[in-house]
Amino acid sequence: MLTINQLPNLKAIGCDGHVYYGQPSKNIMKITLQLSLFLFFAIFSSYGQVIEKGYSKYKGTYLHQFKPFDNDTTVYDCEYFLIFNDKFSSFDNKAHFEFSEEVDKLYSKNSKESESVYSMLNSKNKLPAEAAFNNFTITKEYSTKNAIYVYNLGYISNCNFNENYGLLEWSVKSDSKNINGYNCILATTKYGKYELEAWFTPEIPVSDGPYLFGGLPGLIVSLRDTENIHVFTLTEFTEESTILLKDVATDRQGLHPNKPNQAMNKMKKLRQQLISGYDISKSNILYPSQKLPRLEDASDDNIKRLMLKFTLYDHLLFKYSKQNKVF
Amino acid sequence: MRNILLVFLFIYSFQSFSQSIKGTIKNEKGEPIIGASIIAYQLSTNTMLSYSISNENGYFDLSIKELQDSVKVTVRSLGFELSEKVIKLSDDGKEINFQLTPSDMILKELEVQSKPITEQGDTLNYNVESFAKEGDESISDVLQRMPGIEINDEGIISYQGRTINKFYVEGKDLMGSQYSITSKNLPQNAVASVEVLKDHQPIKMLADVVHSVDPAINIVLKEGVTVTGNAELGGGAPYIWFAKASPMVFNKKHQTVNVLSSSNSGQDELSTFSSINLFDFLEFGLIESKPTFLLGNTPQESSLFKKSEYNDHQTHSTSTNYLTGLGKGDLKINIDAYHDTRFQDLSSNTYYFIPNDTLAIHNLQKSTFTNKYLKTRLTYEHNSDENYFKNSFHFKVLDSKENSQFYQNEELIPQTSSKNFYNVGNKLTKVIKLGNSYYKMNVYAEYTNSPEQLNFKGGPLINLPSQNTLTSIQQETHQDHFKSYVGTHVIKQWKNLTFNTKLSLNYDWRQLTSTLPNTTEEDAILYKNDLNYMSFIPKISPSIDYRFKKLHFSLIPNLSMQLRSLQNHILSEKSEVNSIVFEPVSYISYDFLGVKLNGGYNFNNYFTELPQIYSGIIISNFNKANQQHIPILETKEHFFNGGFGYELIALSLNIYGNYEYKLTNKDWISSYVINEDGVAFMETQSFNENTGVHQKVKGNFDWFLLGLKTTLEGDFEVGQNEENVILNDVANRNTNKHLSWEVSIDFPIAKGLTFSSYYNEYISNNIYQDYNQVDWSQKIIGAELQFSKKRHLIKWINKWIDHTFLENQFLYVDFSYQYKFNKKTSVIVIGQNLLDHQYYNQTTMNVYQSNQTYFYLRPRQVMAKVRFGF
Repeated sequence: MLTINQLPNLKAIGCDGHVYYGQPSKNIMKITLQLSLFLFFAIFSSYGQVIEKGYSKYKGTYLHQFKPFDNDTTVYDCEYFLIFNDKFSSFDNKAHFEFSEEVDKLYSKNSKESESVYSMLNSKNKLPAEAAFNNFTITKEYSTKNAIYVYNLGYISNCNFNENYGLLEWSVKSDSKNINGYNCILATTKYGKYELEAWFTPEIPVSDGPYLFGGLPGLIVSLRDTENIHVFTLTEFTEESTILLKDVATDRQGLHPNKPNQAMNKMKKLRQQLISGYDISKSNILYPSQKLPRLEDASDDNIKRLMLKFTLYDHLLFKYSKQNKVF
Repeated sequence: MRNILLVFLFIYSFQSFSQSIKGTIKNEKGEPIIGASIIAYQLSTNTMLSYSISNENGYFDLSIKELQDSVKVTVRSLGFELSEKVIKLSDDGKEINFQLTPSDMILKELEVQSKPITEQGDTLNYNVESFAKEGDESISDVLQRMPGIEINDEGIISYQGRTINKFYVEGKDLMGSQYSITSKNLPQNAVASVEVLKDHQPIKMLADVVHSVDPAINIVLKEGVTVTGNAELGGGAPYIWFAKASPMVFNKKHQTVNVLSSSNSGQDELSTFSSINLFDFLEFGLIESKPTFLLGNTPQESSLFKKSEYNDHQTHSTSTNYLTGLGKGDLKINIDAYHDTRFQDLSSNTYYFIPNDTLAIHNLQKSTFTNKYLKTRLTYEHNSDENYFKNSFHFKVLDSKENSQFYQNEELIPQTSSKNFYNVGNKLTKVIKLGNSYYKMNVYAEYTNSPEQLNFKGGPLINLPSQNTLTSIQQETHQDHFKSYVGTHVIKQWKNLTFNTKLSLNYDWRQLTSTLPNTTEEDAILYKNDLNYMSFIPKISPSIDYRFKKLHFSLIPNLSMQLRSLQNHILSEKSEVNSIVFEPVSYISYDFLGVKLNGGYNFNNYFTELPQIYSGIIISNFNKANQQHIPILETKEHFFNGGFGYELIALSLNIYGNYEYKLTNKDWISSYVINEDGVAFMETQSFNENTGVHQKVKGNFDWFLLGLKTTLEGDFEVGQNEENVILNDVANRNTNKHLSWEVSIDFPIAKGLTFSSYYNEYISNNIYQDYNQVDWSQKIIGAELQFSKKRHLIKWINKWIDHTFLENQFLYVDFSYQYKFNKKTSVIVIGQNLLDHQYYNQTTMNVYQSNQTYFYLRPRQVMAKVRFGF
């Protein structure tokens, strides 16, 4: 467990943290994870530079249906927000978005330095549930067509990388159909080992779409791979001008972001640890060599849950991998 | 050198087929617009040829690969008006610039239509809003329309022809098999979706171990719905009233459903109370005993009309049900009670089949049937992944009285009968896991007591007890029944096979006594019964269940030792059965390209029991007497069935078909003798090789077209029954054939106006005695028009009825008007039978008689009802 003295440059936060870094009791174990997350945001938001990218204009909601496990046709659902304006966009896991909004509210409310972290966490506004899986954010810049992928549980496994969606070679077909009131046209491309099909609508002239995809002369309304392992569908699209777009990648400079291959190896290691029975949710990026405790609940369901949440388990439409072929 | 250059130029000229359009996009201020989308379309077909996105300088570059004369170029950008130009490609190299004007038009919102049916694993999710229509009140009104789901008249729900084994609301089973009380009263606007759980195993512990083929339904309520239900109050002419309150509460820990009603308007609130507890049958293989009354008359029902159209009654009923979490499980209390009085006036012509002739007797009947009923059930259930325990205690009391007056052959015959039914029982189920095996124990004990009494004065039977000096006859019977059952299932799973071995012990004790008091000693023996019946049946059923990918196979070979004995104390006779019986049950299903095929074979061996056996004559009605002086006799039954089911969820299409064939072999036969007074005397006799055949083919088709908001349904049934019966000492083979089919369509004509129509035909061929053939058919054409606008809702329902034995076809019309004050309050005016048809002629027949009855319908009535939602 961390002690106050071991946390780097923690002068901005109150010192009462000492209280729980002694013998952690069961209740405190529960809060510790939330605490680490909270601290993570708190520390690095005050130290990294948050580059503001202007207020949003529109917000779309995407539903992602995917099958992460081999020989298992169970489909998992995940929702994301695509928030954009003329120049930038952010594709964020919905649960993470709501969680970080609450954290921001709490932090701005309790910015007095003498406030204890414990009381902040215990305040009446309970934080909403963390994302169960797919906890990442992608920010895109329209002028350069550069997309930055950031994994939000960086304290478990730091993984950031860039991809330029302008390099995607789309092949526009003559098929068109009406999806939810918008006239859409079909386009296909090859992405790593996947063959993708996307329906985009010129009626929304934004060269963007779900995940790392964009570059078509219209918003991508639905995207899937030909084997239906990943399906993205636009379910809502409304005007939204109150959200401030931020660039989160620069925050993580202090954590030495990994290149995709490094990130993949790290994931592989985490999965092996999990299957061997170690509780990877207690992993700490600041102390990578620390020995992990054994898993309390080694049931199939729990292992699957942890895999989805912490090891980026095939839930990514990863250019470098494809289900059944990576690990 | 020059040749090489020429070659290069030559090659180069071939490449330059690629034409390009370049330019810049600027706003009204002359500033470049970044990220605008520029698309070039082919002029004739309007297909996309090329696209480009403007860069930081507003610059775009379209390259067109196919040779074109001119193309249409559209430029779009958020916050600006669309700009379009037709560009001639011959002007090569010239820059085309666009200047966009701002627009404050907001992009339209996505019209996401929630899919009416979605599938996740073994669960189908039906979105209620997609299927609900104006005028639907309870969730059962919407369920009927959902493809694959059917509700019969008693409210029993089935999916693809299989009845459901559980009805949950928010995951909890409050009502047990009386779920129709909830489905008929839960307002549809409180429900978000209906889940069909295919192959549902209600015991969580046995979820992947014991595979079920039965479906279940779970009602998912809308967010925030906890208190729901309605209260209704109404009155009308002639002298009708209606009052009903159905408050319901559903939350995480408690659920309660209450219905109180009182009415004489024809609306039937009682069908749910008499439903068979199918759930117990599926779990236990046993059903709670139902009354098997021997004496008296029961109301005649119509096959052509709904009960609400002919039932003359006064009914008060109440049902209170409460579920609460208790410790780790749930405690449930269900209390039902009703007081029902029915009036029936009939006028009939009965043609009895006497040897070589028919005897016609005219008969008038005026009856009042009064039923008082109370049932209480207390259940505790703990259903978790590690443990299962359930105990259910119940007691039932039924008091049924009949008061009739018959007028036959110029004689007035008053008759009264009084029947009571008392029943108390307890069921216990426990599942434990030891190592890799599961043990499921079921214990059931029940006691029933049924005293009956019949009294009548006069009539053709009055001289039957030869020295009867009185003018009235009094018949009494008394039945006692004690049933007990203990069973253990040992469930072991190995790879894809489940071995479920059931060991059970059944002990049954019955007693039947009957007397005809006030008769002489000699006659008394003829009319007296004092019988004891006992059966002790140990049974072993080692069953195998195999499930792999698309194949499911199960075989249950039931081997039992039947030790039965019947003792007749009056005649000092004994009948015993000591035999080993083998009754296999098999089932196979295979999923072939999305079509689910299934088939099965069962063999059953039944033995006659009390009250099917009695040596003394029992007079059951003023013109009916029965005697079944037989030893314990056997019935063997072979049953084959096969079917298929296909559902195309994307199209909301559901098709299923089924064929069944039953072969019965009895060593007994029913014999009827009719005398010149029209008295039917029924006897059961021994008979060798009495075979009966029953066949039925059934098909059903349901299609919900979301785009047109139309429902198309069709179903048909063809069946044939053959059996041997003795009539007036002549053995006959009676054949009944029937064909029924129905198509219905439901579609919107205009906004707020929907039309639904159905055509229903039933054709029946009956051959009695080889030379007595009666064929009849019935056609009903229904047309309903529904108009809704804002708060008004008008329904106009027409039924055109044609029946072979009806003199004239006629039209039956209902009309209703509803005005909604707000979401929860409405007033409705209902007119029933507006053309005031007083009666109709119904023909029924059986082995020994053909009967034409003039059946009274409820006269024209108008009622106004106010409804408040909770």
